[in-house]
Amino acid sequence: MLELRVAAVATPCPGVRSLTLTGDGPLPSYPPGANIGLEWAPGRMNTYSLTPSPDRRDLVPGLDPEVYRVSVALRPDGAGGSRALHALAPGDRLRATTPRSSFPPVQTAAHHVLVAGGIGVTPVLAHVAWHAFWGNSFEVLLVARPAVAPHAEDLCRLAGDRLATAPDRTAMRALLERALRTAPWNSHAYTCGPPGLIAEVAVRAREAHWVDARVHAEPFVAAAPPGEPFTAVLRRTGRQVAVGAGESLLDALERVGVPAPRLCRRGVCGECVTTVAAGRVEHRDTVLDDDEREDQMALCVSRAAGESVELDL
Amino acid sequence: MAGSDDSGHARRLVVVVGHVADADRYRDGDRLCVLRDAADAGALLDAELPRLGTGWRVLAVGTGPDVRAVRAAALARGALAEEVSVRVLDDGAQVRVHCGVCHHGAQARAGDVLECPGCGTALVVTDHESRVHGAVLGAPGVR
Repeated sequence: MLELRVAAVATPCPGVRSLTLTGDGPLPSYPPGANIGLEWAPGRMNTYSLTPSPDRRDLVPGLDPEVYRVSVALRPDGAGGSRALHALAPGDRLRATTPRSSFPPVQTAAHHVLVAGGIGVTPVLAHVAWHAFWGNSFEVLLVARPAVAPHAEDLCRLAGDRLATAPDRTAMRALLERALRTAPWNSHAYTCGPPGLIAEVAVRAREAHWVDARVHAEPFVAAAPPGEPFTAVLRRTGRQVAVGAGESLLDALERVGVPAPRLCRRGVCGECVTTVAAGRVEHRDTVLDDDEREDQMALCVSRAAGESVELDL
Repeated sequence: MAGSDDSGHARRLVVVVGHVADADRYRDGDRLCVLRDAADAGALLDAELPRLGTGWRVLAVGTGPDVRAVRAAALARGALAEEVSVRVLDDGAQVRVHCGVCHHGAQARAGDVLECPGCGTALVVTDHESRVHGAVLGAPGVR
């Protein structure tokens, strides 16, 4: 864990707070699209994408950084993490994980198509800074309403005429179809934003005959929607844990004192992935592939598809 | 170039090593290239791939060793495994062998024991295939 101090706060657009964080010593480097977990209450972490400083275009983005910068969208009805982080002031201290890479660019790609919506612009901004520094071929498609687009100015400065903005999903569809059908050989697409935007890119890419391995995504999702209550059976002890409709399996396990590794709580990082011994699962994560879903599940977002699921815990 | 043909299939760059057989098995939108020698696959792909778009596929047609060489050249130029398919026309059980000792290449038949032309090691032709090298592993064995 890192001990960080808030060096500066800013409000790049309504509802978004940017934090500049420093450490007591040198900070670990990070690749584009990496995130850190910020501890907003004891044991409670939210993960946020690291964005390099748009003012230091002479430095390799993410290499030996002097500061970490994150942007936090306020979720008034969330669990409290964004509200706590919005309340931070310069000088405040907080603990953080070291950077984790979950959404890196494919280094062998000939061209990168970057798609962002809402606060999903933050990892895309990191990708753009990286590609601009190294002279890589890229384009950015942004769904944004002018007044509420976080970092749109930074993105515009870095991407220049390689940035195309769509005010809504319909306009984005046209931009996507053109970009995906004219992308040169060996392109890769990266989407960060709400699940609907990610699904749209996946559908358009398939229509353009892109194989799935060229389509990458990092979802920015609010709390998982509620589901039906079910029972988790812990195979090693035979213990049964009731999971309510409004709580996650991970929360239910924590409530009864069963330790399980966890980090992002959004089905992204894979930390809480656990072997399933029996029972069908409604998978809601974005980290497991189809093979892995045969016998594993992400405890933080996925649920039993029936009345119970048996876990190797 | 757009990645769809009129029938909605992904378009294909078809690389034939040798002569074109079964011409009726190709589609209207296919881009057909014929090579005399699979060793020229890299140069061909360097010229052809920048003219294509993402969404195209590569189909290699020829003998087993030839299609493996074309596939390896495509993978080395950014193709993903699911974008490259092969059609083996005349598989006389010939395989290209990659020496695990000195990395020299040779031709042999599955199950052969051969002397590596590079280092002289006696190599057993295994069934361990590398798609990157377009060859099977030749492992040091007992003569």
